[in-house]
Formats: sequence, structure tokens, C-alpha cells
Amino acid sequence: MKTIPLKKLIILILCAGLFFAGQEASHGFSGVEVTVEVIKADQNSSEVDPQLKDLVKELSPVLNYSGFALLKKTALRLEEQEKGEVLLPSGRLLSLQFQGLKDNEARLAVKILEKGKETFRTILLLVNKGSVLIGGFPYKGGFLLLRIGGTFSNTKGR
Amino acid sequence: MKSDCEHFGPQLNAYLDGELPEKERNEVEKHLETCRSCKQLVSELDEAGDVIKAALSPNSDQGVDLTGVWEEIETRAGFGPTIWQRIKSLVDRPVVWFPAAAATAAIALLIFVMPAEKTQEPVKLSRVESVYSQTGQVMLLQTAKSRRPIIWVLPKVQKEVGS
Repeated sequence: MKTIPLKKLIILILCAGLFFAGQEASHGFSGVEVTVEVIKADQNSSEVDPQLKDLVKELSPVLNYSGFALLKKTALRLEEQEKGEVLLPSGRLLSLQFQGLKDNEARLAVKILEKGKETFRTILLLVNKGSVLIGGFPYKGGFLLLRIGGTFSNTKGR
Repeated sequence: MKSDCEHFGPQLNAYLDGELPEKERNEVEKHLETCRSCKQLVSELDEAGDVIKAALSPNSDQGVDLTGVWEEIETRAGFGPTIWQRIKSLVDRPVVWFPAAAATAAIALLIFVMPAEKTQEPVKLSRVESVYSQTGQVMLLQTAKSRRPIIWVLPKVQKEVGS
């Protein structure tokens, strides 16, 4: 019978170990990865950021804006009950809190503060890789539009 | 003559091996001088003895091929290949792998994919549980295709003078 040389065997075991360690690391995070895209929508221009083409196609039948510019894109990894903040243009602050997973939905508390005062708040129930759009805040002749999305592992909270 | 042969026949081997007493040896030799068939038998036995001696001799140039002898015994006895040899012969035949792989894939498909399709839940969409705006006016919309929720905050309504 053909035997595997010891060197090859050790390398094989190491590779397998690394593979399983990587798997564990990727599944180890039990929170949610929130992505926030800050977009400026206006009616004065017709320029569309290439990264937003799919979104604009989806929005055009609903919202009457022609120009879309991606101002900022941020990703936050939040554990349960952890808070995160994203600074928005013109001194606004977006505050996010991941409140947990239930029935394959991530519960996310979203607040917008202007000069320290809460002007907007909502509770979002995001499906994995799902997103919600929040807009209507005046900004430089147009409006701010936020796309807030969440990615998480579905193994918890079933 | 024949009765002499019957008498001396059993003694021929002992005669060749030099195991007979002198008297009996002389009698056998005397008989061999007159009996052609017994003489021929002695000659044949002597040749056979030489062959056996050569084969079993430790100094013989031709060593005994024990592996070959064992294989010959196995073949003649009809033992057949061992379990390991049978498995090895199956593995060595590449044609066996194609149907085996196809069958495994089909079984895996039946076990894992088919039930998953049957128990597929309706597509869930992201939702808005509650909204508050300082302006007091919020519009909830949905995109046409993906039915993605849109919260649109409307400006504060200016109160009419005198109302």
C-alpha cells in the first residue's frame, strides 16, 4: 500500500486546521454588520454615481430626483446592544443600536441628532442582506438619502 | 518370479537407502541380477531420489521459490483473492468511479437539495416597526421591484396665520 510521506501529512493537517479555524472565525461573529450609504439626491443635476445605478433604477418610479451622489459609505460591526455612530453632512449625527436578532430579523434602532437634539428615530427590522432607505433631510439644494443595510448570520434567534 | 518380486518389492527402498542388513541386501542384489522389472524400478527410484535430494539440499544453486509455490497452492486450492485484493481491484478500475460518483451526487441531491426546496419559506422583506420625526410628517413608501421600504421625512407644515 502506498504511504503518505510525513512532510506531506503535516502540511495537510496544518492546511485543514487553518481551513477550520477560518470557518470558525467567519461564523464566530454573532452580531450584525451594518452598512450605511449617505447619498445626496437632487433635481438640479442628472449625474448618477456609478455605484448607485441599481438603486436609482429602483427609485426612479417612486422618487422624482435625477442626480444621485454617493457622499459616504461606512460599515459597522455591532454586537447585541452595541451602539455605533456615523457623522452625516451639515452636523447631523446618525446613531445606530443593534437590539438583537429575532425570527431572522435584526432589530436596529436608528436615530438622527441635530445639534445634540433628536429629530428623527425609527426601529428597523432588517432581513439578512436587506436594507431600508431613509430620506428627506434638506442638504445643499437637495436631500440626504440614507441606505442602511444589515448582514448577519441566520443561525441565531430562530 | 512374480512371487519373488512381491517379496522383494517393499525392500527396494530400504535397499537403495542402505538400510538392509547384509544378508537381505545380498538376496536383493541376487534377485536384481535376474529380474529386469525390479532392476528398472530400482533405477527409477534412484533417479527420483537424486531429484528430491537436489531440491532440498541447502547448498543447491536453485533455491525454492516459496512465493511461487504458495501462489500455485492458492490457485489450485481455489482460495480466490482476499477482501483487500477485491477492494483494490475495484478501486483500480476507473470505470467504476463514474457510475459511483453519479449515484452519490444523485443521492446527495435528493437528501439535501430537494427537501430544502420543499420547505422554502416565503421571501421575507425588511420592515419598519416605528417612526418618529420632529417635523411630525413622514411618508412611508416602497420601491416597486424589491419592495424595499423608504422612509421619507417631510418638512414641517407651516401653520396658517389666524388658524
